[in-house]
Amino acid sequence: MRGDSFMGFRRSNGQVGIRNILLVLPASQCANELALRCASEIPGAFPLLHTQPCAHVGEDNVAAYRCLVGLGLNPNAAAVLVVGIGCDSLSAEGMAEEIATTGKPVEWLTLESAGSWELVVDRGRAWLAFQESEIPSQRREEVALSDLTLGIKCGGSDATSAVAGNPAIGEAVDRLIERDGTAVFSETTELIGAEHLLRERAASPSVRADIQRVVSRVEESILATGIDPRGTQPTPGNIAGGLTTLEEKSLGGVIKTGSCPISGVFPWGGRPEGAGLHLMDCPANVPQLLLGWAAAGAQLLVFSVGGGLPARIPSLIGTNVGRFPLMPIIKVLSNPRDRDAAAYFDEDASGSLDGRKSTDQVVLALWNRIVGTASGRHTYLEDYPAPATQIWEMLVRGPTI
Amino acid sequence: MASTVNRPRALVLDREDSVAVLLDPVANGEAVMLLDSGSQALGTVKVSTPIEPFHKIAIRGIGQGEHVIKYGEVIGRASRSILRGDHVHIHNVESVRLSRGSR
Repeated sequence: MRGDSFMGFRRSNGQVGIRNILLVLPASQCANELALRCASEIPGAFPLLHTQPCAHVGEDNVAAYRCLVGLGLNPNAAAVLVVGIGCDSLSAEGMAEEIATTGKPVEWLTLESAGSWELVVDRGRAWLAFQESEIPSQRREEVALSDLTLGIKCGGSDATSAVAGNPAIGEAVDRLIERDGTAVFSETTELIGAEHLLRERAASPSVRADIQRVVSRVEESILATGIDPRGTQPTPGNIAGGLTTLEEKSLGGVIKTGSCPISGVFPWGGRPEGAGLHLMDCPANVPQLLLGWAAAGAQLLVFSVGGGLPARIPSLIGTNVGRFPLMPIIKVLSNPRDRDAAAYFDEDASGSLDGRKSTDQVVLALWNRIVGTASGRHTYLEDYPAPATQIWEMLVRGPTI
Repeated sequence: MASTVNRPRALVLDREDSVAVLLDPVANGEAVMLLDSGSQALGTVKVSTPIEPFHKIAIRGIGQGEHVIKYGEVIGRASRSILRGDHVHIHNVESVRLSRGSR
């Protein structure tokens, strides 16, 4: 393989998946049990349980619908079963129709359309079993890195994140974008204090205005509550790790975005327009972020962790159980004091801080990991024996009625 | 790293910075070797308290209310005067942002 390609599954609409997931998507939280039961005996099926209720209104429902459709459109989903009750506030049939425009196999079933709970489960299982039997015929082929969309995230940050993991991720992002790939960063709250640097990198005046708009909105919304955010931003773990203020955390966080121009800003539930580096407007809440990135078409996420207690969680901080098969997650460790927890990570960037590795070696290892994972190599979390299934949290700006 | 003596090290990320990031733990009164991001030695600073690695030390005096600079950028302002060699953290630095309405 050349340095600008990887081995992926080319879908009929031209997009490229890096996994073949049978996605079972509930239209509402009332359908979560149906999704679980349909998927229960199908090893390749991923029931993506979530919190979408009937109590959300207006823009929140529009964004949730875009998000759920986006999850189905993600090229890692080889086939999609949408299950609903029939009285869900978001239409299972509508979602299935939109997802079917990709040409991938899509089915929808509701309690209303099937006539009974048991019939939804029976039909859903049978459909998934057939789709699973079709997957072995899919072959990876050499595709360009311009077909890759990478999410980038840092969490459990400490002072090492900004000098180990994040700079390495920034270099990898620059490499990907030089090859016409796409990268998406988010966590708008954690841009406060660093937005002036991002504005300078805006590809156009309208992008510059969009960056300021989303950061100002989150800052004003925090100030409007009158709540003192200290203790939450930075978090107690951030502070123990040497980060003093939100500005310091933000300035360290944006290092992972590398140095390329910022091509666009899009809302949670939306998708980037064109290649390059994009900002997704979403709070720094892991479940919502993972849904947002996957709905934006990211096939892969790189997750930078500092050190301390967050590095001691074997699965993924900010989640209940960590597994999110629809979008593999590469965990990167930054703090050399937590080297003994490196087995919980895919990449250990901490060697650049204690002289075990050069910065160039860390960057090259991460780059090879990204290309390797895109080509099928499992991440640590993909093989993690999660004890339960997470119910993923949808973004809600309110009101909940 | 290129340091010739076995001193604890601290990284100065930008030439404008008023703080450095410790790479090693330090004991009270110990002298820390300052390095730039290319591992070139920039001199030493004596610290005034034991400090955890990756926390910050002041590499020059910072007056109360003055901005604290790391990465060449403002990370907050001194809530009390800070001496060269002091531990720089939440006890003597506060956010410039998100402070309206919160105090």
